[in-house]
Amino acid sequence: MFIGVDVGGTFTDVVGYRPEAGRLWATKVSTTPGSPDQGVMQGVRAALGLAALDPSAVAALRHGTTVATNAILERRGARLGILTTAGFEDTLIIGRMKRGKLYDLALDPETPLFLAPRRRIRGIRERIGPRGEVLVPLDEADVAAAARLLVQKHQVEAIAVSYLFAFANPEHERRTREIVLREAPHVYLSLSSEVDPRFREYERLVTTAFDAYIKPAMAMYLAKLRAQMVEAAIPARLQIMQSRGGIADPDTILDRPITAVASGPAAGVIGAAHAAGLSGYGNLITLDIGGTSCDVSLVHAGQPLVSTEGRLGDYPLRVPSIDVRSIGAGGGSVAWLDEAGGLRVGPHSAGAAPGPACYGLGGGQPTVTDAGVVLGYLNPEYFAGGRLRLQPELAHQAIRERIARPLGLTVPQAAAGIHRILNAAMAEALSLVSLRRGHDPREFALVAFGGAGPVHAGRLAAELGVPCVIVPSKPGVLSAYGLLVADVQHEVGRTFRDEASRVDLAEMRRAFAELDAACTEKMQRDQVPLDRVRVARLADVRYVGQSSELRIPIEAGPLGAASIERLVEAFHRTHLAVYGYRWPQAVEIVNIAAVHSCTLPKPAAPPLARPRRRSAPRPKGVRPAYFDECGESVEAALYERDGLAPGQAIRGPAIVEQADTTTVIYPGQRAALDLAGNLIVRGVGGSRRRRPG
Amino acid sequence: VSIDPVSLEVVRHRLERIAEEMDLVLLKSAYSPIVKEALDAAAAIYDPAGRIVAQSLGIPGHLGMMVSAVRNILTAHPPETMHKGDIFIMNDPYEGASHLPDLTMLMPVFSGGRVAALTASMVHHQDMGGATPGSTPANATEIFAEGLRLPILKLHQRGIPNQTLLEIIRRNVRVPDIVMGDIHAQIGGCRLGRTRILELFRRYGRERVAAYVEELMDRSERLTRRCIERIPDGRYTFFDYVDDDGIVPHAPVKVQVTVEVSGSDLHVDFTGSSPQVSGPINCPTSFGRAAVYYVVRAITDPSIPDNEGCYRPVHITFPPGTVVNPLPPAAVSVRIVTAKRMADVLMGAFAQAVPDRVHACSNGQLSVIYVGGTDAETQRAFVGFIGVPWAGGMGARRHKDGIDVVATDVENTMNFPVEACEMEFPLRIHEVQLWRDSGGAGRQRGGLGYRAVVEWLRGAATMSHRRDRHDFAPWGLFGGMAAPTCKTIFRGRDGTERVLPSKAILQFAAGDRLEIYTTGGGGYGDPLERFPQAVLEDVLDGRISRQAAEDVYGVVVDLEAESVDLDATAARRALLAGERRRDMMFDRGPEVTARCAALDGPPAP
Repeated sequence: MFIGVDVGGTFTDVVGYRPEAGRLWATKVSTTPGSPDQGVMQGVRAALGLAALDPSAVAALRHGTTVATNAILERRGARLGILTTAGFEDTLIIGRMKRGKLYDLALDPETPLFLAPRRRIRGIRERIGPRGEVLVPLDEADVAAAARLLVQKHQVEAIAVSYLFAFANPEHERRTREIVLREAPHVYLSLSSEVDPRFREYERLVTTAFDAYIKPAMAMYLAKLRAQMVEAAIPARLQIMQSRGGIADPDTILDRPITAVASGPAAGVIGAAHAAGLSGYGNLITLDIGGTSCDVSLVHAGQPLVSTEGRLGDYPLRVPSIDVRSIGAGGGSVAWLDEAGGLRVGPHSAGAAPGPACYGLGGGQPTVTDAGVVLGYLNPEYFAGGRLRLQPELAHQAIRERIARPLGLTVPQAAAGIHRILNAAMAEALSLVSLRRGHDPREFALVAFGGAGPVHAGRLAAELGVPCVIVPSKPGVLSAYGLLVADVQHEVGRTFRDEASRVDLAEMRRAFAELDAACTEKMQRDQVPLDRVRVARLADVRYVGQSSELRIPIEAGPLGAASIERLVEAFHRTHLAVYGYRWPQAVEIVNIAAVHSCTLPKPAAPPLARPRRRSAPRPKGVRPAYFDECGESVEAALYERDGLAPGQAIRGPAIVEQADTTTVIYPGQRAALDLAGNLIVRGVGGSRRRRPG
Repeated sequence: VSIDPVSLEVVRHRLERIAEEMDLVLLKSAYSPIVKEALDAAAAIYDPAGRIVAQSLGIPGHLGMMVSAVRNILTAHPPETMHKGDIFIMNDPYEGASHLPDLTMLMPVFSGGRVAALTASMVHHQDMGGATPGSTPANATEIFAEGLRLPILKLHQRGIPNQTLLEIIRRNVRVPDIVMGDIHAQIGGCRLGRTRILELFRRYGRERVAAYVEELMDRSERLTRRCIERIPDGRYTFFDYVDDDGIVPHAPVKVQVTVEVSGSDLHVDFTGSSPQVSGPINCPTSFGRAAVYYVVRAITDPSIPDNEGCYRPVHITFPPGTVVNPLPPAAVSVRIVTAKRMADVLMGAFAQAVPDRVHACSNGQLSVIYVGGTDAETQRAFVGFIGVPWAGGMGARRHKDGIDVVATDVENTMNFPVEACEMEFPLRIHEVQLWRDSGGAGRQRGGLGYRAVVEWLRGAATMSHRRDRHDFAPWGLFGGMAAPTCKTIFRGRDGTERVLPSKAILQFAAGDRLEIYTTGGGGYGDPLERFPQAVLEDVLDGRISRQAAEDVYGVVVDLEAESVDLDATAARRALLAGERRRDMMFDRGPEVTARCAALDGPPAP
């Protein structure tokens, strides 16, 4: 059995798949925050129990972890020291100077100062120039002294090394590692030339420092988990999800743990893409709405969009990651009136405690979830699978007192208004990920998951002109599912700067050969058949003089002058699509990267049987629900997701309930389960009813 | 049209997002490092009467900066005379622009056969010709030396590009491809805005959108007025100086403001400021207005939706013929120096009214050091700037220290990475480090500035050095002390050494170096009240020297034990308290206080 385990804040989700049986098992256990490995093992045992198997039957354990993210968010990473080129010790403090809050006179520094105080940042006499030339040789005694000071006096557990231009010549950083390890064999080290070998010193330093900051926690966690697996007599390999959506051997992760920082959200996108793919959809906008945030990403032709210019809160984090944009809006977003009587929703959230008014935990502020209860979309008895009993009268009261009465609206009108404003704000954010990438959302389908995604998806799709919404069968464990369907994947990149018209092809072939060799080495650890590995080559390209790049694939096959010509043409086309113009100007390549992937056997649940006779679905009841376009409460039919058979047509207004989410079918929309088990909602969007590819 | 509060909020989101999206397209597709790395560009939507409907907010200095330009374009070309496909451009500071590199572009949006909205964009271009690379010659005495001056012109007429004009621009700038690329990016931004506005009209109806825009402005006005009502009524005056105008070294230029708060109105009057000067620091009113708007938003409530309504309660007097409202043909390219000082004096005036809403003076300048020449190796002409931070430290707040090296008040630019700079231009940066003791002492300490050393590597180059606060220090508040003044030292390859004034143009040859010291922000509150542990941390982290800890803060530290000697500290503080005047509202630094007295009589209370 293949098992995928994704650790979330509250629950650890588990999906097991047994190829022999062609069956999937899914379950949830409570997360054990102090030592998440225990929850993981409980999840594994639960899955084995469901399938009535013993531990020796586990073929692979694939894991999405939040250990790295939590270490950063909770500021519980390693006690860190940083080595820089002498004279540039303050790169971390100075950052890029620009502030995010323009008018806030009480703002706090927006660089990650918590990583290390200035006394633990030491300059080393050495200097490399822009072409990799050594201007000042490495002062080895300086390195040894700094290492002793950091380890003995400051008790650091990890050291990040980031010298100027180390991406052009890594020798000084490598030699520094040797010296540091001689002085302090047990310290964890991260080198900028390995973590993020690309120019712009602040971003590279921050990425490298975060890598070192989480390294000890990650190493300890993975060691514990492996030990637990041995103890539980599970013979299987452990594999970890990376932020770019591919899985890798734990030892590969430990080389650069920062590559696994967004493990969970990446697995969710992979799961969503795969589930929608089973229904034949390849162009997707994924939408995961929870209590406090809404995660959005774009999938084109089945491939998630991967970016290397990620961020973690205010901080740059340059590692390849599925481009998941998080919007601070969700079920807990608070509705409020400004002093001019304007209705606003968010940005503050009631969070989980006290939470929405209807939680009855003392939160009196009306939220989006309260509006959902008032509108009749959410079932107070069946919220989060019945784990939380909602109090509708509190939702009514909060919206009546704080919003409806002052605005002279009815309570349902006010609630509908709250949803409309939230939907508008989310639609703006969604269009960012598609339109700004040069894609037309009308050619996409919206895959909705998370507790609140399918509540709002119908409206968002209409707003954006997206023709259909897909709600996967198990939207609550999509990340764990994603772990089972992900490829093994490795990306290695570096700065390679040359004008496209005069690229030294031999040099570029050499560079790619090095990148390929690095990827192959990692693949070998994963013990996959190397003849099944697919190789993709990418280049970051821009017009000479620009300073942001577009990532363009280089076509497969031998690298020749023709491949560069086609790369340049592809860049012009992409620039036109993304920014609205192309320009007869010299083009330069800035960075290159190789991506190696190997597809593993994927779970393939047999398609559902199509019922012989077309039957109407049977509602489990009706509930009054309010929709703006009806102007009053109407009876909405209520369905249980598990009771639906493929092809049965549901007409809105209707509500489909299941333990892990609620799908609202708005008036005029229709929905049906397809043979892959996905609930497809149609009739949502614009005039063009093109079936998305 | 009746106003539905929900649609109102939905439309507001949409309008703000359109301005933001225009700006994003502009920034992403622009060419020049100054736009790309410094994000020196802005986009906005105006109504046909020239009122701000929504604007992108990357840099506060852009707040309302295009207002005068847009209104003047509308006067010269009333909406009923515009045609589909027209695009207007201009950069003349005497017609509403701010300095020549800032090119404003305006595009009408036609709906129902008439102009229903306007989209506008502004980019700081890498070069606009003139005497020095970057078009901001620190020694210009007339605008004619600052570059190509474009009155209000049509760049496109009914969709047809004006080749004559484009060719004139190409011929007059040092880096035509880059300037053309950025002009293209500006057109792209305006077009995108037009498309989005038309979508909005289709959805909600043009008349309804217009009614909503009117309502949004009224609401922002009401919200802003409520905030102003909470400020105690009164007249608050403050003044400060710019070092000099770049022509006559060390001849101070006064900037003075009187803020009169009465009810929900703010009258801001710069009477008392120096007459206009011959050097290029004269600040056109478009930029001065942005400085006032910035301070108003910062001390009211930044969450108020930003549009014309926020600025209706604000009445500004810029006396003509002064450094804050020059008459042609005064040079204006370095107006940022004066605009920063305008933000400083406004902060000083409001400090008297709302002491807990302000900060002590920040470093008060933007060091832009342009270099231009031909790379001896590649034979390529370039215009660049030296990749060190452009700003120093921020002033301390009542409850927080200032931030080290960060963009403050009207500007919010990114620095140019050292690596990008060395890859692009023939220079080497030897160090960029926090400058110890450059944060003004106080119960809350000012943020630190930095020290940088830069060396020129190949060939010859012209450098335009424009900074300020070499003579007048950033002041401290309520017992907090001033930060030091900035300085720049030129070290020639032959061993010569020269201290530069804040504004200078010089020739660089291989091996010449600059040592740049940029100051921090002023302190807030009495340094003798600073928590001793915080002083110790500052010493351990090298932000303040041990000497300053003892002499200024009265804290005696034991470096070996990394602890504070509490007894010695108590004794030291008692001694210093007796020696020092501690009731000053403003501390301008010892030398400056003496100079101010000579210039103006006793300093402000």
